[in-house]
Amino acid sequence: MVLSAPGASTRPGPFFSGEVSVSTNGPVLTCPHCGQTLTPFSLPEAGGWDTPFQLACFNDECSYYVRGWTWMEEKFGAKSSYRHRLDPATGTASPLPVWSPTAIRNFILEADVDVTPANDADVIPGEIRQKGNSK
Amino acid sequence: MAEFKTVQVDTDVLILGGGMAACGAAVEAAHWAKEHGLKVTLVDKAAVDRSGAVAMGLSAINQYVGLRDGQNTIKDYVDYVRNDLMGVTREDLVANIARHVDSSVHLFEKWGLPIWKDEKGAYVHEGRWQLMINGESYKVVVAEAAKNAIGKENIYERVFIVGPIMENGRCVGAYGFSLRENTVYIFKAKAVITAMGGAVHVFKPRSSGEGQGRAWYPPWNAGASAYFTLRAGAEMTCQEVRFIPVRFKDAYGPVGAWFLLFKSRATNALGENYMETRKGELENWKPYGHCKPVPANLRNYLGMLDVMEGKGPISMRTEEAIQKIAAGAGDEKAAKKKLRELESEAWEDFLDMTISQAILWAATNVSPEEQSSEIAAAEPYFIGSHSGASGAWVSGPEDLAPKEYFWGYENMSTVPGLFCAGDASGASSHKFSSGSHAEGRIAAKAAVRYIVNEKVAAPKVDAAEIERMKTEILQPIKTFEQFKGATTQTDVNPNYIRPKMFQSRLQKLMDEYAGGVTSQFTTSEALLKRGLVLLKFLKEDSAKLGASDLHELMRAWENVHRMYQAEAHVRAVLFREETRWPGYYFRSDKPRMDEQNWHVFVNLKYDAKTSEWEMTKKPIVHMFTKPGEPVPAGAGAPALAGRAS
Repeated sequence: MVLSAPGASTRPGPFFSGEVSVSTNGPVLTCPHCGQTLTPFSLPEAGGWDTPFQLACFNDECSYYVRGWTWMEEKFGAKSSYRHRLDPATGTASPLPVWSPTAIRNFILEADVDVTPANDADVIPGEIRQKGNSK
Repeated sequence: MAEFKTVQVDTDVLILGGGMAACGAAVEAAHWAKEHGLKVTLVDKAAVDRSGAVAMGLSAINQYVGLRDGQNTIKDYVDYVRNDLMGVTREDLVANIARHVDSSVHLFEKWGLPIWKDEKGAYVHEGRWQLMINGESYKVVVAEAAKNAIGKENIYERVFIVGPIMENGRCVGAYGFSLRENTVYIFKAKAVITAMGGAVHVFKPRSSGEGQGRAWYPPWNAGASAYFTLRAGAEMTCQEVRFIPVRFKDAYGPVGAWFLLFKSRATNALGENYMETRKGELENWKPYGHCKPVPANLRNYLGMLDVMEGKGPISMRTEEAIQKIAAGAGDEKAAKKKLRELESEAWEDFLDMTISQAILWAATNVSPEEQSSEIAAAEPYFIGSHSGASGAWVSGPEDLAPKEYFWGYENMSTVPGLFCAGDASGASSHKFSSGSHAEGRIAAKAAVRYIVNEKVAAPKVDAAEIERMKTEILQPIKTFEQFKGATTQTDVNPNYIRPKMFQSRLQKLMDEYAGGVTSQFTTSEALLKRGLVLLKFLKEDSAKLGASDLHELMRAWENVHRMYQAEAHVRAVLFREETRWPGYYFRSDKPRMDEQNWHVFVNLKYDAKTSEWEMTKKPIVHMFTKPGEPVPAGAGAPALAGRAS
């Protein structure tokens, strides 16, 4: 499972047009903490992300994830941990909060899933400006 | 009637309100005031520690852009806000907040707010813009910094602000009364920052009768900002852009965890998911219907269509989501363990932030793992800091604002000396708690600069004017005292109307004529015009409000404030001859969006001398539209005190 355009410097923007897609071709992205291949998981729309999925390490033996339980308990009194996450739109990594080993697993995407919204490709960035500028 | 003493307070910067924007204003004003030898005073109708929408805490900070880590750009945030508001937003204001909001968040952390971070110091995000916090004492932490900055001796708590003091077209103070003792307050200032929140209970709430008082947004936000700015003669914007959240029905329990964490579906009575079956409807609202995320009002609308077709109720399929996750946990033993864990999380979700929903579940024998629960669109709210946009029309920053949006001082309204922040400033949605704090700081710095640059003189308010204000404030108590003996039941009297009944009348007419819950959020020109007739009667009767004590006097004035917010709303909805936010309100006589004629702001002004309203269109100038284009000069530069990281 790989990402066709990792770390792209230009973002797909709010009118996600499908430039980023899950594919079996291209470089394999791995977790910097355990080396396991990162897995795509779908993002609920209400989260505000402008891509339909991100990547995370779902290895329960990952040292980053394992240490996270202790860290969050000791520092924040929270019974939670985090997994290594990669945002395909920016290439930036950040902690993905999880409350249990199974959390977020129900969002994992299967290989070769088409995550491009079918009716989004015809949206032209800048359309708003052309239609409504300075009445 | 009991004697009321009059206390006059002379200050330089007067901050009205005690929420996040006011606290941000206090911290920033204190810094710049010290440099220029100015005095800062804050007035709050409650207690700053627990004032405003963050009163009982939050479990996330909803606006953090992450500029220093390159997680997002200012343009990303502007795009998000513009799309959610169907194109109607002041991009200069949103960008200005977006470039400063991170520094407010860093201040919160410095002041002691626990923000979740990993072992390397990276913030733990809940959503793209959300940071997770241990936020039970979020407001207390922010309030403490504000109080320390300006000094407790300069803070007046439990003082209700009635209205503005004007001098030659400038705002030079505020008048109000104590909620604890018989005292009228006259605050005179060189600059005034209003940050008194939005407006709740203008419309009839879903929770009426035995549930009265419950609301999604704080019920104590009663339109004080709108009234203050309207009565000062300030131009207002987006008064039609109200917000309607979808929540668990009748107790406003949050739905976010169910959609985000449990991956739950919401379905109609036939088991259909309106987000799928109604997806084609989004074509009618292009280009915004194609945006990701789908604008909140459009998501609302798809569900409303099902309800209007008689396919309700809409239910959150909690049982389906929980069973599905549990089934995926492994063998039968693991599934049972997971089920218990999820059941616990479901209850905790409500106990954490909406206890009344947990009580309602308990009272109606709801087991979320066994049965679904009803969700519904709530009554409309006026909340410019969240997903609505109503507020004052304020100046943008010099380095970002186009000439149409700039008149010298950031966040100053069209009335000299009157600055607005948080729910009080319009067309700059999605500020939430952190953005409101940042905007308060922006407004306060500008207010000090206004005083210094313009060499503003101390206002003079003569004794006769003070006496007039005092008489106006206390009229409801005088009326009640004068006529209370005319009937044996003091609630029913031919000479006065008590605030509770007045509020019911306001809510009923807004509900029925301006598209409230029982009208399925639908209205029309004819209905709105009839609503204005009834509002006129109500306004006449507002002169006959009666109040038996200080608390009821507050209730009387709160409802006068709501009434002005209501009229501004009705007039703006009537003026905008289209439907642009169908999930917030629907004009049945103008059922489509009209980009050609209405891709504009609707602004209005109220003339307190003639009681006339002036409606205007203002252009929407887009600054951040083409993906990949560079951020305008200055958009990334820090411009506040430079003390924040």
